[in-house]
Amino acid sequence: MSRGETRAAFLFLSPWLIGFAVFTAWPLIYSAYLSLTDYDVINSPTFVGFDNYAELFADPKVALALSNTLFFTAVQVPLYIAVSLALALLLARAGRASGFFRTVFFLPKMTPPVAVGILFLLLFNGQSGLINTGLGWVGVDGPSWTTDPAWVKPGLIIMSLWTIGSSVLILLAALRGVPEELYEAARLDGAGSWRQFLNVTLPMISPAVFFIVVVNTIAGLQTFDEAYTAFFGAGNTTYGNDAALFYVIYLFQQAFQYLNMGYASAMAWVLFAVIMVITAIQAIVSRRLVHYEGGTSR
Amino acid sequence: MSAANEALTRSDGGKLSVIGYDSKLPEFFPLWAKANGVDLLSEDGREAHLDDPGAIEALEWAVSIYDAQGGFGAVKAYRDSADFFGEGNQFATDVLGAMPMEQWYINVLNDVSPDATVVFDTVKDLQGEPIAYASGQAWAIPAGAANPEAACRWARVMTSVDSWEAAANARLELRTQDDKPFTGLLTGNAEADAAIREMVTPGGEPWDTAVAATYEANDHTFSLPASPADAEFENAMQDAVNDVLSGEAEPADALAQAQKVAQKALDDAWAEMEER
Repeated sequence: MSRGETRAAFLFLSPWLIGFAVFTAWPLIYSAYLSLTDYDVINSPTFVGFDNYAELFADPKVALALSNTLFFTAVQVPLYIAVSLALALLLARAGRASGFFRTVFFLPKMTPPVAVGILFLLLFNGQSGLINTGLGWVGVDGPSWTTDPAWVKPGLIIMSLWTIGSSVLILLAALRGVPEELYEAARLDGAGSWRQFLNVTLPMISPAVFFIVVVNTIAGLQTFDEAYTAFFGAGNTTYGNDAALFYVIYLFQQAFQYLNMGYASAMAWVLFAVIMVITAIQAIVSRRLVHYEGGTSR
Repeated sequence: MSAANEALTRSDGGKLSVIGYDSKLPEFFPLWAKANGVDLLSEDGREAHLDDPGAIEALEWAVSIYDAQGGFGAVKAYRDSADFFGEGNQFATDVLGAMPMEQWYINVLNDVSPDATVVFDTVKDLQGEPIAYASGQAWAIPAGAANPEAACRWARVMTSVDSWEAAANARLELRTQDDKPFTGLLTGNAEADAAIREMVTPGGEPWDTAVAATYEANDHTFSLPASPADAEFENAMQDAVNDVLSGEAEPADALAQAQKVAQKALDDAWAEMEER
């Protein structure tokens, strides 16, 4: 490549490079520095070494927030995949109506997360919510989803299915990419529908499933908007249910309510480490479970 | 109040249909503690008194108000389903007996449901004296600010009697245009409060009584003293009350834990402030 071409390449790349440096790299470096300081926004940062990290590991609210977040992610991700896959399988057989239902399933994804949080309070209200009204029709006395600590996370997990549309579309695309010959061969070998699903469909769409698992796990570990709106936002400024205290909510409170920017930065780096470890484990496990038609993934 | 709560509460098919009394936890916990003779924070803002037996007793009582109606979960869910700022508010639709509330809500009710049957009064302490919990914001000028004199001048102008009177006049004009009563403004400035009270316009009953009760309450206010760990103190207090409301802790245990957390936050914040 000539020097002119190199210069041109850098010129075309420069908007991204500048954006990356200003909006990603610098905040990362600065947050790593802040995590080693005591900084309240008004006064200059004071270097405190690893004190924030030591304090963080002794803070019972960090442990509570982390366990809430891990529980939410561990239940939400498999449920999200299962429901997405079920809907994608239905859509794959929907024929001409498929386009209409694709749009219908995707529409809720367009709802702003804050609206979803408010919607959660309305739908899951223990006294007058639509969910409990529906349960009442079949003789079930629904729980207090928004006030009973035992039901807060299950309610939020169910509500998270509201935005399932994008995963349904990804899985539908993957399903449509499975060659028909494989099913024909399986049928010739005497495989029934369930066998075909297990031995043909699942392996063939496993890269898409893996992608959704990784992306949703990260999103689950960073969950904030809906739970914050429902339990800590306007209208609930004083009644914050501990069962909905997710890690990023506590991080946000430390940063913007108590102005403990150093502590909040340390929390952010711990979350980064947790996400990195979990993603690495998923990547290792995927080597055995994910099938790439072109060979092993690089 | 407990007896009134029981008398006013209604259930329909096992579900709460009228909230008898809403003790408005966790935000009004300082009021119930004070009514029971306890200051949750010392006057100098250095010592928490969250585990005071009087505070525990006050919390037990305020929670018992909910327990008598099927628990906080049922009351809150029902409360959340009300159209708090609209025509279908809980007083207009007869689904709430009584609750303590900030004075601005008088204007809401007057605007959206002027014909609803409501009565207003001050909260009373155990001796029968009016009592009110006041809170608000304050400006601070950070050490090292580029122009502290200008900031101070600005804060003084903004909180002067003249400024408050100008604000009240603007409000009065708007209310007059809408053919609504001007119910006054509480400013944190006694001189301004007295001047603005003279500008109040009659609105008939129950609104005139409501305004009179507001000013009576304003003469009997207390507030939580300022401290450098204000947010942490408030959070520890509210966490304790919330743990009790959600059934995760008993009042004594929750407030004992909150006392530890709040006192540590106060000690750390004061030490840091003095160091600086």
